[in-house]
Amino acid sequence: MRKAVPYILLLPVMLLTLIFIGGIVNVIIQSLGIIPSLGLYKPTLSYYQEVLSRPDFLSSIAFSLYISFVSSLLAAILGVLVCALLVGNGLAKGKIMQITKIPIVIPHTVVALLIINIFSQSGLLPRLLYALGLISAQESFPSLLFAPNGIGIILAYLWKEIPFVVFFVISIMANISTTLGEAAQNLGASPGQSFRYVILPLCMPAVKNAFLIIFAFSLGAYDLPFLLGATAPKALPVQAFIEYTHPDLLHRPYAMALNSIMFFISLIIVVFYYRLLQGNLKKIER
Amino acid sequence: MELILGNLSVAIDNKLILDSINLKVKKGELLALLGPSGCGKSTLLKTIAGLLPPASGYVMLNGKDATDLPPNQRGVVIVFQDLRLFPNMTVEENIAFPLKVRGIPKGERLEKVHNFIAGVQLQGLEKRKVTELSGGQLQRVALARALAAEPKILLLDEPFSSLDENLRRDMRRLVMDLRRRYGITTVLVTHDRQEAFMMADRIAIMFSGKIVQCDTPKNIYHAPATKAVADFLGGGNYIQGTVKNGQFLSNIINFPVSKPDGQYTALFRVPALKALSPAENPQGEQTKQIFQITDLYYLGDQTEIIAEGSGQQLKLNISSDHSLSIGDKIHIDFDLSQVVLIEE
Amino acid sequence: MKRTMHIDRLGIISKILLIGFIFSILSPLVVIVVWSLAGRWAWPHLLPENFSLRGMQELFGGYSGAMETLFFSIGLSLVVALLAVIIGTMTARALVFYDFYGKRVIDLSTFLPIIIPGTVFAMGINVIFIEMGLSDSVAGVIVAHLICSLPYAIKIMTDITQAFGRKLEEQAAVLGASFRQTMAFITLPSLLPGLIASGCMAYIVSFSQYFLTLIIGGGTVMTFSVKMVPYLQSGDRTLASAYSLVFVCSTLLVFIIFEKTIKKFYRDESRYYFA
Ligand SMILES: Nc1ncnc2c1ncn2[C@@H]1O[C@H](COP(=O)(O)OP(=O)(O)OP(=O)(O)O)[C@@H](O)[C@H]1O
Ligand SMILES: [Mg+2]
Repeated sequence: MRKAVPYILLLPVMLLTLIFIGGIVNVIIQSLGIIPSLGLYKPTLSYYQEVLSRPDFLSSIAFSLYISFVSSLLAAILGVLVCALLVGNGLAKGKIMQITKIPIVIPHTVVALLIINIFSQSGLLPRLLYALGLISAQESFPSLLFAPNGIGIILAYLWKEIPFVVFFVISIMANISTTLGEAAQNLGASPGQSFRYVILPLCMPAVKNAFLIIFAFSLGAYDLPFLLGATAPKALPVQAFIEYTHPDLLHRPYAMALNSIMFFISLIIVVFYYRLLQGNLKKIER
Repeated sequence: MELILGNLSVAIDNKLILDSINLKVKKGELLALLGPSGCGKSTLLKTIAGLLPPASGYVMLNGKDATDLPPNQRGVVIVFQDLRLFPNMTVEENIAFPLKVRGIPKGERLEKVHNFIAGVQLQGLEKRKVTELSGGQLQRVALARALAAEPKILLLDEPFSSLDENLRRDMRRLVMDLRRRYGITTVLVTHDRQEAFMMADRIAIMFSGKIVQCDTPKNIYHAPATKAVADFLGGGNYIQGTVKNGQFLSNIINFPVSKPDGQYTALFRVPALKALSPAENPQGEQTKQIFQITDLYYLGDQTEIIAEGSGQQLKLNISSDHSLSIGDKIHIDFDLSQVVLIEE
Repeated sequence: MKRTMHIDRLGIISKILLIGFIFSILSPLVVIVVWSLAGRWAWPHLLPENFSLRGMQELFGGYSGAMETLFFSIGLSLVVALLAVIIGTMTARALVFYDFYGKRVIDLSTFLPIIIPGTVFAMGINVIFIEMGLSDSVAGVIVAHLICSLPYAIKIMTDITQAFGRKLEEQAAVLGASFRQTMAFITLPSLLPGLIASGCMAYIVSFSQYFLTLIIGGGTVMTFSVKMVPYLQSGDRTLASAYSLVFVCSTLLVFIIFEKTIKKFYRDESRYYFA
């Protein structure tokens, strides 16, 4: 009886996990071209082959990887910088930290509007530059949104993800800085040396975790590339959804092949994340 | 290097933690800082090292004002209560850290580290992670790392508190030894009074952010400034009384003293009292009174007696081969050469 | 003397950078407030030429159905939050207090929905839901939202369950309390901050879902998020900003509750450790 207690407690979560896994298994099965309701039975890798050879799909994959990598890397670097500034000024708690957390809870759809309001060619930034005489016309402001360079999407992700990295890293950094950082300075290290040799290496696992989470998220998120992206290239999730809703149902396996590619990339990330977690555990256990 | 603190006050979150501290530690001296938990000892060390800014007052190092000097330029090194070894570095790297940040080239660095490791007898553990060491080994790494920073002043914050009795003795000896060898001015925080008596040239006693007395171990023991200091050093039997015309007067005992008139408390530590059975002939004036035994506690070699008489309770020890029992009447001999008079 | 000047300059630079950071967080939010009240605001004006209540009328006037959608959306997210809190608490208890076969696998799998892209799972379960008759239904949307918000609820509840441990429950039992009394007087009160915090988090996650709601709800389940996006695309900045403003305000309100309870939780926790 007692043995059954944890399983009873876990029943609902297992049910939901089953649905979740069922969804993913379904994606993989359909990506292999098995969709009985459409009369497709024979497993084949041809959809993957096609996806990985068609230029528009390939540029989708490249575009998504580019957006995610650049935005996540910049967010990690700038997030650590902001953390260091906050900790250095003794602001790791209190009002400023509360403001920092705001973007984390604002949905991506709204963030898209925030970016449009400011960075579109009729946005506030070009108006400001015009008023200052730095640009002569609306058109001389470079188009950042809906452009193949993806800068609008990256800016939007940065607005949300820098605060996320700060939130994720600051408590551990504040902690290390008041104990081991102090010790380092006491032993003759300058604030810069203390940061470089002691604080940063010890924060690195947290920074890497934050990077992996935002990288995986931005790779598979639909909202921002949908609202701020160019017509070509399209981000992976947007392209997958177009194939998914294509009137010709035989496009479905292409959608699922694209989804599977996203899934496998995120699976690799999970493995990294798990190893990082394990590494940390070992350190703590010792 | 000589250390002088003048009117030093520190506040954390608007709460005054240190209250006008005045202290002078001479070059090469070992000062023990003794006080109850939470009185501000660690805070004082951090302030000396420049890790906490004082609200007012100054820190002078070798005659120069160092109040605004950043911590890495003071030459004041703390061995923290919680050690604070860097978990991302090996034993060797931890000890090499202060040398590295001073830009000492690698070859020279390794040689020096080797010497320090030998100095604290950690040979063979150079490549270990600090997460793989015992408590005593960690203490020694922390000590070696502090020495590698070539401190002019070494601040030790309860460095032996987490060790067992044997290791503690070894570590004390090691610190005394190293200090003699390097001649470093040292402040040792402890709340173990035996440790302070044993190791210190002078002892400073601190209560809730104030230094109440600072003197040699002998002077502090024989002339505690207040009852609280006496209590902290072990206490004993306190007898309230007055001094009038060179006589201490109380309802228990009267004796001549050379003190100005006023209210005093006489402290007789436990060994200063001796129990005499009524059969033995009382010798002095002060032993004529009769006390009744209210409690007996067996302590091994000795037995503690609690006795009462004239509204005063007294505590004294007696060899365990006695034949007394509760309710017995005794005389008590007061050893006047050991009395400590504390002005109220 | 030269040194302190150098330090000062560093301090000033770091303050300027921080002010820039805070400004870049807050200014876009101020801009939507201004836009939502703007009438005409053509290039290259830096401020609106005139103000108008058009956006507010659209929202609160009753004819657009914006308020009904908002209340429906709040109701739906509340249901998700309640379910997430209940399931999160149960899961946390199982993970913290019991050792059982497959614990590590379950521990890891509760975390998967954060890392596995939402689009993948959305399209995957949509097909299953169609077969189960759950697609285009409120129930289907609730299940999908629940899957996304559970990882956060489980994390928060696991933390607080771990922090409190079983000590207090055991103490109560030793003092003669029955299981139900222990639950009512000890367990629930001590977990309360965690319950509120994880509820808020699940609510926010659910309320923000756009793509998932769109695909599972098939356009028939109209949440505020789904209703708002066409305005964002329309180019009518006043309406888009007005909708966003309502969205942000309602989310921030829940977030403030979250922050207050989390703070209390951490204070309690530290008191717990010092005791
Ligand atoms: N960061 C802080 N914030 C608020 N109060 C603090 C802080 N650090 C210390 N205190 C307070 O300052 C006082 C002195 O603390 P300190 O650590 O110096 O004591 P201590 O004498 O070293 O005690 P112990 O023997 O226990 O180490 C304590 O009352 C403590 O509560
Ligand atoms: Mg201390």
